[in-house]
Amino acid sequence: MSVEARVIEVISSLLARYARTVPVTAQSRLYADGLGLDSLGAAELSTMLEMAFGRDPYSEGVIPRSVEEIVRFYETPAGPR
Amino acid sequence: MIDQLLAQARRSPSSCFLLTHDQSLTYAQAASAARRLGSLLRRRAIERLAIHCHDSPDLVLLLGGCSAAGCEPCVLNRESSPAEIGEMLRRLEIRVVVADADLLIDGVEVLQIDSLVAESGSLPEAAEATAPDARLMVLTTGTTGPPKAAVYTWASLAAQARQRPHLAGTRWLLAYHLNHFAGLQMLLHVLANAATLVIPRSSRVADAIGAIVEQHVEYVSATPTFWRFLLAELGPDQAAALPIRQITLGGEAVPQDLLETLHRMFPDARISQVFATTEVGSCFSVRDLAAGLPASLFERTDDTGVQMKVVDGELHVRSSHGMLGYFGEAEGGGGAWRPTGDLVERRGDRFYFLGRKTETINVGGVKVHPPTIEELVQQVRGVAAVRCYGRHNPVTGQIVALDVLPADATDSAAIESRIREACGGLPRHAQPRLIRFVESLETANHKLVRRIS
Repeated sequence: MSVEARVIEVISSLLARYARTVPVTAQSRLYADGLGLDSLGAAELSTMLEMAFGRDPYSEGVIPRSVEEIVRFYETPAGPR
Repeated sequence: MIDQLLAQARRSPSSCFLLTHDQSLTYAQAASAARRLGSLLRRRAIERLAIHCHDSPDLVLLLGGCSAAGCEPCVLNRESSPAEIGEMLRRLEIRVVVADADLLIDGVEVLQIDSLVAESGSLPEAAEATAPDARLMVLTTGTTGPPKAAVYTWASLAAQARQRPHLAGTRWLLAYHLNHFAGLQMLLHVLANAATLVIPRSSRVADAIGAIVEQHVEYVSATPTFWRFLLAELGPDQAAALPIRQITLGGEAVPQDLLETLHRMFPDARISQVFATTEVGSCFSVRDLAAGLPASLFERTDDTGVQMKVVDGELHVRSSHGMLGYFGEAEGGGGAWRPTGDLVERRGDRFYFLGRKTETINVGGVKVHPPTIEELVQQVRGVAAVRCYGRHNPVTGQIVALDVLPADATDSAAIESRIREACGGLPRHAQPRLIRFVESLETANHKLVRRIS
């Protein structure tokens, strides 16, 4: 499965937990102007991404605004920090 | 302690004091052995010592010997590493440690408990009167830093144990380690009542169950977590067949559902909740089968010498039988007010325990108390046991996380959705954001470990 498909799967399952059936695409924006995540939603997303990928953008100081920014984070190799 | 042991040995010499799967000691035998150990400690001029041994009759005898010799003991956590022991002994200025296995610590004399017992066997019993103000040190659990040593006199510890004639000869399970206040309290309670202390092979719940069944133990004092695990391990039918007549719960907040479950399972057992701290000792005991404690306890002026008050939501207590002070600090005496670290909230005419101050989860500035969530999730069908804790989170600081021990691991997806449904009514910041299914829950001394991870 592609990184994009995995990220979309994670976000869809997060939304499903709260009975939200919004279509998620690479272009979807994450917060109030899109999928509607607030800080608690973002906190949960960061944990779910960490579980799925072993690392997450929020913990590394990147605040993604859209699905594709998350995808880009994982497609960029984690260099020495 | 030795005074009580001698008194019981005179009164009921052939009653059983200590019982294990392969050993049994009467009060007379224990008193004699403890006095000989006392002679040995005196002969060697050991004034203070640490003990790094598993719970055993020998360990109890050694404590009796220390009390007879006026030697100040400190029982260490048997799980501590040599490095931790070394550090602890330096802080407590102790240069002798009694062990039950090989142990090498720089600058510390290590004695083997079995050789001490063997060597003391040929000595006369310490004849003269005991040291009246003999002391001991009791280590705190040290969840928020290195353990501290609470200095007690044996007399003040013994004063906390209530004597009830009908308890003579009853069998009590040692479900707490002797390095903890609760374990020593159990020992002194047994001693005060000429009862029998049953020491299980290990602290595993399965071994505790084995001891209850094999030794026909009717009195069990343990943590709520211990009881949950016991029920999970045995299932309702086998659990109900246990010979238990008294259940005492302490060491953690006692959830209402557990009280009800235990009452249903053991309808004839007397169920009590006790509250004690290492610093202040035994504070109160309630038997009304309801979670929390009646507000009337705060106004009582009885002869227990214990008072309570709430400061900024935290329970504070003081007792005339409390510790003299922490080792290395000025001895404030037993009367000082001490914070307990337990957060309470008054609802109607009761105070309810919200959880430990150090375990409170902070989700974006909003506080969440793990026991509240655990109590809710515990009711969910398929959940055998649950631990709620704070997990670091880059967005909100912490989130609420759950480790769930499922009754049936193949059912975890369904259990998870039931948990989410059950938590749907909680304020959003209190809802679990991470639910993991585990094969075992981390416990320390049969208490759930809820530290932030």
